[in-house]
Amino acid sequence: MRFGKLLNKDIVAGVVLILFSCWVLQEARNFAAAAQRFRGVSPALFPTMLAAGIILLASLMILRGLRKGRDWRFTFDIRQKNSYLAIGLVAGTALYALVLEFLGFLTATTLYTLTFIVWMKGAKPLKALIISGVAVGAIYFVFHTLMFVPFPAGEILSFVLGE
Amino acid sequence: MELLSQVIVSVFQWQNLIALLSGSLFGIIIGVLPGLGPAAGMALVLPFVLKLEPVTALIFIGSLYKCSNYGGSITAILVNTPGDAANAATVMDGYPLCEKGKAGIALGLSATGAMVGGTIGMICLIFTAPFLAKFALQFGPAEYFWVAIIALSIIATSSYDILKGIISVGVGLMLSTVGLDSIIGNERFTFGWTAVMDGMPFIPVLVGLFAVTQALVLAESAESISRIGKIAGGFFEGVVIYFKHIFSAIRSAAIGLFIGILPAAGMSSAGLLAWSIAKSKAKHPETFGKGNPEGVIASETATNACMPGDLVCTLALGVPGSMGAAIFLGIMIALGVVPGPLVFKEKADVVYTLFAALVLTSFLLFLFGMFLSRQMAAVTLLPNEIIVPAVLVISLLGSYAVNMNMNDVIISLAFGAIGYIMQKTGFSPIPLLLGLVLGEMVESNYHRALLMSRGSYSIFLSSTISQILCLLTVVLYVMPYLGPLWRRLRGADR
Repeated sequence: MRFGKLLNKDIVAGVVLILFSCWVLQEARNFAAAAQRFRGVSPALFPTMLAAGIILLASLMILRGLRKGRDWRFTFDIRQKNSYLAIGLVAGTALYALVLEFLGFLTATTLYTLTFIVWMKGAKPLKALIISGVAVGAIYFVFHTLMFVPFPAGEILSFVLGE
Repeated sequence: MELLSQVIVSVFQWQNLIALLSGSLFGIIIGVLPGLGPAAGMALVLPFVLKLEPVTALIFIGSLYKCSNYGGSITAILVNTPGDAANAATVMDGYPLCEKGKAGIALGLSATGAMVGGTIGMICLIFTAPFLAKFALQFGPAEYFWVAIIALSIIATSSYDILKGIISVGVGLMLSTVGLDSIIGNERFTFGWTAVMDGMPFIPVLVGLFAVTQALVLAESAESISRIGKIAGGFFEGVVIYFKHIFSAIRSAAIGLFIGILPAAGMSSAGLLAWSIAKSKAKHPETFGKGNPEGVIASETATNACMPGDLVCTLALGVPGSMGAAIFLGIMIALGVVPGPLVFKEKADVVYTLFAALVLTSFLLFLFGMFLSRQMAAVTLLPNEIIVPAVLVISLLGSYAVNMNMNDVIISLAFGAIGYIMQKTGFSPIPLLLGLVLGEMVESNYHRALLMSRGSYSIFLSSTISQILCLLTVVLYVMPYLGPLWRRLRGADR
């Protein structure tokens, strides 16, 4: 059998699910050891049943994938912006979440939206700044002013205000 | 008669009308924002509400609760992100309609569904509430277990790929076991992380699986949500289509009402069950999930008819059918209206004024939809470069706003990545979400039933209701294979 035949979504997902379920089974054994079984009920019972079921179903999915053959091709092209847009978006959003408390909502969100509008649309920075400023102001008004959601003020603003 | 006149006078008092109007508007805004469902909305206004008169406060909270569900359907239709689990079924046909440029029609269908479903539900319940409450009392842990299993089976078997649908439900159920277990408080899969000690937080997971994933998918294309670049069909076209399917709507309202009165079976189950039945009865079931208006009609009518049933359950038994109903219950107790079988006698004026106000809310939200649908539908024409960062920021803030905790934002991002991978490998996130929502109900009732029967599994088939529910579950799994088998056998005969 050629390795390329295994590049099937069902096979890859099935293998990942079986590995995940095996890990769940291993963890569930620890609960079973730590807790007493009472009238047939233990904290490990439900996760064990589910993991066993998923192993069975994932095996069926792998068999189906083997019958179908290859259906997955890597289309990542470094020259195409869309190829790395999703990765950049996840990384950028994770970075935004990390710096949100430090920079504060207004600064972090304006920078975040500004960057993405310039990057995705190729808009001029001034136009992007106006769009992101209006959007951030509207979000701030709805969440903070209308719904009393306390946003992180940020270390910088707190330092400037002497808090 | 005296009670009726008392109720009418009470509803039309100026302070109650203002509460009705402001609660409805606030509810729609809350529902539209991904992550901020009725539960978060009610929690946000709690300090303000407790200062009001009990009747006024309950009208405000009740209309907020009802309208946030309608608001949730707007985001489900326009940006493929249900405001709450209750709108999960609306996504399946609402968003494809939007992609075809028929956002106005979809919004018309959902507003009419909310009005018709809500009105039918409320009127039926005003007259039958005490009797329905008695029937719901016959449900024990085994029956609740089967109700949850049926809801999960429906969503699994209505997936495009049934095998992947069942696996997705299984993973959702597995995620619901994270945290302290309900029997002896044993820690499971927490790794000492306090953020998941009370279970996998629902709102951050919902935001991640739908809003963040959707933003990533939209980022792949430089167009707008509406693929034809314009809004074809208006609100009233949706209303006309709705009334052409009135029998389907009435059937869905009956389903919603029935699910609503079952304790702890929430609105999400009602929408999915009605959607699935509408699909099985349709002449062209293959069009469901691809923008069939009947899919939106079924899910929205059932969900909105379910809400009054859910309220009756909360009022008569003190058992909430959803997270929103649980907060509603807490607010009622704080206001001095203690739920229980006697509430329909002792606090009849308060309860029936609330019911009457909710009937008015059904019409009010239709008016809101009528005047604002065109503006709301315009969202689908905005370029993705604007929509993507806006959806990400608003949804992550919605996730943060629930507990003011950055851990929730991290969970949303992680589930956003998981949802994106699921989409690329052909798994739907909706069964996973339902598994997570109903997991606690399945496991706790499974354990309770076993404890009651001293470990004997016969309890799951001991009552007639359990036997019927079990049979229905089996039918759900067998049905998709019976049709092709029947056709093959008939072909062989010829």
